[in-house]
Amino acid sequence: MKKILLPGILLFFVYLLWNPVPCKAQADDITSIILKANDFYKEKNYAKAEELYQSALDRGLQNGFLYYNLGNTHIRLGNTGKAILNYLHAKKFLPRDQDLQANLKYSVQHTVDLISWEEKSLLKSLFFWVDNFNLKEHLLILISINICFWISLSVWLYKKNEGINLFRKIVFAVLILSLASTAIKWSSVSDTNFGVILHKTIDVKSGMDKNNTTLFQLHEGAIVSIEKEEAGWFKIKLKDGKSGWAKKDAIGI
Amino acid sequence: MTCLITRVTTGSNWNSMRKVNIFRAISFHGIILATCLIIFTALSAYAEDVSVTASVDKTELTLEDSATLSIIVKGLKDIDPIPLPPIDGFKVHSRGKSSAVQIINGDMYSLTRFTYRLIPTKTGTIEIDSIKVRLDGKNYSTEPITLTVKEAVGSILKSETPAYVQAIVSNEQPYINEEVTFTIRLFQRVNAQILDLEIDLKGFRQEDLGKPKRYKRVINGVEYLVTDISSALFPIKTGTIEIPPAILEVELRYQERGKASNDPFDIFNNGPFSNRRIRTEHKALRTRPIYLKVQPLPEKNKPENFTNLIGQFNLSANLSKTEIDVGDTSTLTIKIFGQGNINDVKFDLPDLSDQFKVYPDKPEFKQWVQNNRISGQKTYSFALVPLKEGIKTIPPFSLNFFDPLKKDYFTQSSKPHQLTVSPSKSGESFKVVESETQMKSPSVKILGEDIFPIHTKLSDFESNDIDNSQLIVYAIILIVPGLMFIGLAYLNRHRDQLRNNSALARSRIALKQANQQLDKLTSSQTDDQKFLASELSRILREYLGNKLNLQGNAFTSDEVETKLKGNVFKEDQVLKTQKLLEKYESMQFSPNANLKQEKLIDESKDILLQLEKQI
Repeated sequence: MKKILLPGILLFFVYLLWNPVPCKAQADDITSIILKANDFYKEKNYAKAEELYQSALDRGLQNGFLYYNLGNTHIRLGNTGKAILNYLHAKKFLPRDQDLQANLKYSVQHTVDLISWEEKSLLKSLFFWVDNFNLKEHLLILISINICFWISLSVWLYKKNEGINLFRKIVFAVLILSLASTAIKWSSVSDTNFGVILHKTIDVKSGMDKNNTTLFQLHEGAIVSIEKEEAGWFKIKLKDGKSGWAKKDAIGI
Repeated sequence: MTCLITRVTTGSNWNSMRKVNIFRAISFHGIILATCLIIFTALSAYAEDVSVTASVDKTELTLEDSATLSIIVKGLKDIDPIPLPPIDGFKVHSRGKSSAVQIINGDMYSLTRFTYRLIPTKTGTIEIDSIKVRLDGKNYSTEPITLTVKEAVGSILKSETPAYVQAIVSNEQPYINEEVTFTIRLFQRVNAQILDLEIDLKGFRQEDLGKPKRYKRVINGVEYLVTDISSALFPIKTGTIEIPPAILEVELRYQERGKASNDPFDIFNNGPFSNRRIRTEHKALRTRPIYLKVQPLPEKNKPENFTNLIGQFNLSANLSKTEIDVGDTSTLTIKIFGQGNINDVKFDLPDLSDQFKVYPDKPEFKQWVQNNRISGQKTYSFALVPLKEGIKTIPPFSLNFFDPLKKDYFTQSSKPHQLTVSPSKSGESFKVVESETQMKSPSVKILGEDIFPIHTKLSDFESNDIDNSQLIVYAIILIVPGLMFIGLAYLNRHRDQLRNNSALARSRIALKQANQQLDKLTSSQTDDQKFLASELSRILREYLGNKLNLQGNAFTSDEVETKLKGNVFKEDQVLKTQKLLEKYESMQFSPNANLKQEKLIDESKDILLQLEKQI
């Protein structure tokens, strides 16, 4: 009995992990909302479709395809800024989706400022694969490699030979890389600090007052990095280093 | 008697410009004095009268001056910032809070001062109403304060002022979208630090013209340090547009011999033993408004495809290769550069699809400041892939713009270029395949752009989010294999120990083996008391032999006493064991019918358990 208890508990957790138990009534409700929204979209009633997609999001469903569909709806409604914002949210969950990449590129190409969404940093260059997986995938990879590592270590305990020794060292190196990748992804997801300009044109000021000097202007769809928030203003920064203060309501996050 | 105890300064705006005094504030003498007084404070009692007073450092000021409003709360500590209501006629900037403890005639008071800078926005007599404050559950109000604001002296006679400011534009009658250089020029005779510049520009697009420029200039025999803060303005509508007065906040610094201050808050600014001090004066210098008459562009000679470019521009076109094979690429580069609203340049390549497949690149834009004006360059690149062999002509490209200096429209054109396209030089068999592919690829003409459709597979709309319960599961799954390995390693080590330590192995199996043998004896149901006693004796001796790692089991009950006592066994246990063994020995020679088998076996099990507990 004891022999099967521990693996049994482990399997139960794995089952829970891969098959989270949703509240069925709520899930059905959201599914019917998405179904209706899709129908409205096909009928070109984009305003209604947008309302329903948004209501599914408001009910707490975090899904890449939902953000993607909402982004498409905003494109149809002419809201380039909101479309880019939703595509960027979708990208967190669907990092390798080709349709999403194409639509995001299409949207950015239709902005005035043409600011790319891709982040370039030394860390991102070294860990170039980090953005190809979402956080859940990173965690699952980490778990799988972790299990492999402990299995290799257990085998090494009973059978010591060069092959197993090399294998456990390789798995350990991969585990460290996976751990670092997951930490980077976790950090980038939890410190999500991008914003998208939602108004046609905004003045970026030198301080938190409309009477301050206008440093530069940004247009709808421009992707900015948000450094801090204070009294209804965001301190924003562009990739080329320009920074200033912009009204919070003009920026979607 | 008044005695200053300590002072704490907080608030983002408080004295950020008084860096000079920071070193004095932390001077050695100051620290010694503050430490002594803090100890003294701790030993004293606080007086509890609470009062709130408001005062200003001056009641008469000019439009260029600022007044400092202080609200002092006496008798309470740890007070939240007091928000000031808007005061008509003044802009209010909070300058933070400072705390001190004061002893007056033996009574100790906690003082908190909230400081606000009042910058006048109009002339006349202005009354600051009573300020109402709620502290510690009670309402307090201050006395009203009246201030008189006069026209700035500096605006009447600038040569008498230590600093003044001017606003200058390069052109008061610009055309719409024409660049106008707007300069705010600060003249200073004393050391001055610029704190803030405020101007509300409407009707213009504004571009920064870089860092302020500093130089010296002598005016009427007086040398001034001049600072130019410039920006490029592009009027976006016609008619009269006002550039409103800019307010340049500066702090003027005068170095002078000081005298002792009565202000208990002032000791750390100047140091208790210093007789030199820097006096600072806050000024809000104002420029005069400027009215620009923005003219529309003339309709005469206006080109049809004019795109609101105002300035002086040039255009150049260049081909990277003039002789290529079919399928090769030549890059056409169009450069538009010059002074003016270069950011507004838009260039569309004429339709060359009958000759080339065209791949446009993202335009490059560079902007810089030259002679205090915006200059820049936009570069458009197109990769041209010829569809057929022959001599192809790239037509000239043109750019229309309005030159405000010459007040007329101009067109800049590039030269036409010829491109000689030869058949592909690749091998025959390869050429056929390549030729087909290349001929097919450019023939796909892009007619429009659109997004990919929405996602409709409902099963994909499950939550992708990771909630806390899932995180816990992830954490457990990450930890469990490690724990399992630790368990496995422990078992392995234990097994190794048993394998390498026969004494330990014997000791571990002793009870189990004895119990198995006793159970076997129970199931045999023998009536032979001799055999039973012999077996029970053997089992007990074997157990003791295993437990104590003794070789063989041929020791007598007397030897048992010696061997057990040499170990950890209690004396009474040793005695019981000895007696039991003696009993078994005597039974082998004189069987007793009254002794039942079950009782004997139970007795043996009991003694085994008791011995087991001892080790």
